[in-house]
Amino acid sequence: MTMVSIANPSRFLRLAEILVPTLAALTAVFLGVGLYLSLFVAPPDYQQGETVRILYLHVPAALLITLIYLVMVSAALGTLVWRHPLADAAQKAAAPLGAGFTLLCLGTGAIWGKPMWGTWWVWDARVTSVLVLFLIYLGLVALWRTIEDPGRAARAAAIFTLVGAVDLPIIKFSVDWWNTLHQPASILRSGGPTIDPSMLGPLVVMLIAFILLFTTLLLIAIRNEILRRRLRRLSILAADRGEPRPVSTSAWSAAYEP
Amino acid sequence: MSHDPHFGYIIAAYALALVIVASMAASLLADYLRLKRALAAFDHQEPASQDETSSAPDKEL
Repeated sequence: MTMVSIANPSRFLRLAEILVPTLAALTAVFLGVGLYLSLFVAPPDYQQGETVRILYLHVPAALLITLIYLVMVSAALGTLVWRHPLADAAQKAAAPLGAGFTLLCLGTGAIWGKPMWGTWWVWDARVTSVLVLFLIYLGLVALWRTIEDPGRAARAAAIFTLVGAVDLPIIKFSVDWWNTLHQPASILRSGGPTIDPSMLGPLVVMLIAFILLFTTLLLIAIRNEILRRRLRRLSILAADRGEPRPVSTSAWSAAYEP
Repeated sequence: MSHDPHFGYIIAAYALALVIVASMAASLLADYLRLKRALAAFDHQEPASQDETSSAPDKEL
């Protein structure tokens, strides 16, 4: 099956019927194993003690939010270059998920920072650039809600997404370019990971679990967006024929609420 | 682990993650059910619209 055939919305809906429960089950398995390894098997850090266990949430979330943005950049190119409606749906679906996982990253970072750095927050280059990414995600969600026509909203969001991509290298290299309180890269670095295997293992399992979780939620969100657009189209056709609203006010709003 | 002086921070971090992930999943599933109900209401009133929901042109979703 080619990517083009999967990108057909009707085929995507049929594929999602199979993939969503499968990925949800895989997510549950990896999340269960990852949480067990993170909380009960991984050793305490020699400096941080047990507080290191917060990083099994924070680090996968931090890696995931960059990945989510790369997915959105791909979807934005799909919108602008190929004008594919499924790319529009993917863009719109990924933005709130990106915001959610970035909030998780910032929140767990703050909770870890209080006992380790002595403060909930610092205007450090890494932390601030991730906050900017959070604001970009929120801005994209707001943009989708502001423009009623989905096609126009998709093009505006795609341009905003591509412009916002400038924050990704800043996030990645901020710890190298500036003297930051945040520690430098310890996993994705040219010399290989510097973390002990007893801690790297649980981190990798949690990262896979987070990626699976995001993929599952993204598929559900894209499916919702396809259904919303079909409902909107049916509502417009019914209105054109002068028929009364066939559905309740709440269902009517489901078609139009972004 | 429970005797660690920072045990409360660890619990808070995992609780925050649970709340955020559960909120995202619940809102998506609620949205899905609402949309399915709305589409079913259309189908109920106008069976002819069934074709439009199942074979809409690809470019219009």
